Amino acid sequence: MNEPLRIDLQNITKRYDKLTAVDNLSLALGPGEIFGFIGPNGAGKTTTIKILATLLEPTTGVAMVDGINVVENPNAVRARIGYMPDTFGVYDEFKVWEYLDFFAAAYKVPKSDRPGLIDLVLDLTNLSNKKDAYVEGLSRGMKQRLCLARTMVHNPKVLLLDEPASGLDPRARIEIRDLLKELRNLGKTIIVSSHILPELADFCTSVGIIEKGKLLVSGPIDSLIGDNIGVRVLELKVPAEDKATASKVLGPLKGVRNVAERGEFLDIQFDGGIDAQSDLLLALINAKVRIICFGEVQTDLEAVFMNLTRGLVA
Amino acid sequence: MTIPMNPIFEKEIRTRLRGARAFQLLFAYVLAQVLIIGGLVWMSAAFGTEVPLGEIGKSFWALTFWMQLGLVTVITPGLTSGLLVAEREQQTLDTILLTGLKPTHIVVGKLFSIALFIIWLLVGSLPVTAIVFLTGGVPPSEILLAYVLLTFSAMVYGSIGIASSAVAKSQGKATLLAYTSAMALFIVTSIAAVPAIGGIYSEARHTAYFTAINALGAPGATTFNEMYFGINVPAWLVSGVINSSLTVIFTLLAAYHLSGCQPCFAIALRRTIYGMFVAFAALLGGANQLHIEYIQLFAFIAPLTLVATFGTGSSANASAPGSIWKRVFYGHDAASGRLFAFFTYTVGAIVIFGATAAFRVWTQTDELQPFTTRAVGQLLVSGLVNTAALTGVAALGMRLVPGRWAALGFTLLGWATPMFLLGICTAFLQSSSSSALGFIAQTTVFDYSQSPNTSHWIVTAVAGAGCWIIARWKR
Repeated sequence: MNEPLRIDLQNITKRYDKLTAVDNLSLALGPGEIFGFIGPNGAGKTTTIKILATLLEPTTGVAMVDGINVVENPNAVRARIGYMPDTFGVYDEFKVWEYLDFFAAAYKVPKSDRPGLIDLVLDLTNLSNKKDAYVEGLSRGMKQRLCLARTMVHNPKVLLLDEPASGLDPRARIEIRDLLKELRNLGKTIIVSSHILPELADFCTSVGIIEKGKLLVSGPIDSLIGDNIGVRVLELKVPAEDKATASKVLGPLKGVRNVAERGEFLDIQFDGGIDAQSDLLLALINAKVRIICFGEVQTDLEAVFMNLTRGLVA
Repeated sequence: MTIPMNPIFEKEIRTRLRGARAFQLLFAYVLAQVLIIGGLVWMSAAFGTEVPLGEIGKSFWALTFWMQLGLVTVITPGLTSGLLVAEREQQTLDTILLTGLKPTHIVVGKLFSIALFIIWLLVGSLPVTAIVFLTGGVPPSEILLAYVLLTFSAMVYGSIGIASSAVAKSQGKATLLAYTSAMALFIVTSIAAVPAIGGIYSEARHTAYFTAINALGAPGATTFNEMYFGINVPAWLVSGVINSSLTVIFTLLAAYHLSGCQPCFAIALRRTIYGMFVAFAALLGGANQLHIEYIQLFAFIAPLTLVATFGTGSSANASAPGSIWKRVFYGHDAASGRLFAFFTYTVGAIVIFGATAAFRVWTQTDELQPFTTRAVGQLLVSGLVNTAALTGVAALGMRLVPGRWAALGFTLLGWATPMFLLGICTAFLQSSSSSALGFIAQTTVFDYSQSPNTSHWIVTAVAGAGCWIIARWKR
């Protein structure tokens, strides 16, 4: 049997008076996929997630979760998603297990199933030893994990996590990351947004870069870095007096897009193949440029992001 | 089988009764009663009057009960006004709504938790009330009934609080709104309770109306009957029906508002108010021996609240263009709100007079002396003039002061204050007030039954038109 796509966004646009928060965005995710939503603040990540969470209606376009339209049948969608907002509150006067029990009851989980379920999510989020503690006394990272535990209390197929690791110290961040990896193994479909790239690179099966409401690129990380962009940065270190010559030589060469000075280095934006790269070195040597160091800068998601969003980010 | 618990109810009860806070409040509640009542008893004992013990018991019972009423009226809106706005401020509201819990469940769960808490306070203070049993004079059934009525009142004030909590943007505004609305309701309904308060101290059983809708009248009104369209109805039943309907209405409004659909809320509010208003007008008209002063008050207060509530607010014309009917009942902007106020008042006034006429034909009585055709006609006109003038005030309010609530306050105070002062002056000039109620009526709307004061209509109309012109000036 063909399982419906867990998340299916078709040409979603959300407009407020003059502002277009999301512009013609499409996205399809199956089971077990973790999609990293990357973009600067105000790019439209939260809006998109809120549309999926049935909190906002798209101006145009169709949004489906597990084959159900979010506008037509929001209640059925709500039972299938766990949503963690970017800013959230917890009930301080509750104990940890009471907090989870309350939400389980609200999600209509039968009373007899709740204790086992609560233990399970607490174990998953590493909070078992805090079961009887008051929420008030938890650290920020723990509250964040508690909130994550809350999103899973009704065993949803889809998790929508808006900046789950924001404001956390590195250690708490790594914990959240490990938790997400574990959830991926459970076969959940997860959308996780962040404006911090390395956070996502590690465990997402695919990422999308959003800017000014437009999804600029999306796909598996490797292909994003390699094929889609294709631009590599080569760095070259030469003595100061040779810099001008080097720039002159490099400029007209095949595959060279741009040469920029960065301190002692020259950064060459290059979209040619490996052969062209050796030709480049050969040309420099023939021009009697004394080379101290030459190599490829490791392109990561961050570079891709900077490249794509150049000039767009205010 | 277990009854499915409302999770919100469970949560509220659990957190409210946690720790010492709730018990401290109970202690303070009982202590306040003991001190105040003890003081009163001590004072009356110092005078050393020789009164039968039963009479003392009666007075004591009324005093304890009013004490409770005062405390409940003060505590309940305070407790409920924070409930929803707190969820919003804590950013937990979305999370709850996403669980699939319906807004109605959320509001009802919260309201019932407060009701239970209030009942808990009342039961906790029973030992103080029980002193009545030592003195005698009050049957236990009356006491029980009065407590039931008090609980109904508490529910109304609680639902007002929760509706304020759903509407307001911040904790402070919610509290302010809850207390102002609760106090306004208390004051308006307390007028109806006056005959019942008298009833406590005399054996005479008056025919009066809505004597128990304010619990102020509950100790006296438990044995009252009220007559509508010639049918005897126990006062407590009328109170129960009216107060529980009010509770349901405010609760539904809160739920509507929570569902996030602002136009739905505004439209639902209009329809509810319209239904209530017309039903109330029919009851007033069908009531036997109704004082004309009630109607006079109605002709002043009704347009004032209607216009202030609906005639201020969003100035954007959000309603779809269409027939007047459509604009009135499907629109939700200030302009169509004023139209709505005017329409509702007119229908209400016609219903009152229709019901009165029908009652007369039906019962073939001519007891309704004050209800001469002339007085009725004058009241209708004065009400309409009032409404029309008020739309001008509302428009001016929206022009002059920023924000919805400021405009509302401007409309209420800006109109009521000069009218009240003007009324006092006229009352002094005419010196014709025969009763306290008549005085209030005269100070607010002129006594049209006695002196057809067309000059007042002109003053009202000119003032209203003036406001309208200033509001439109150089827009």
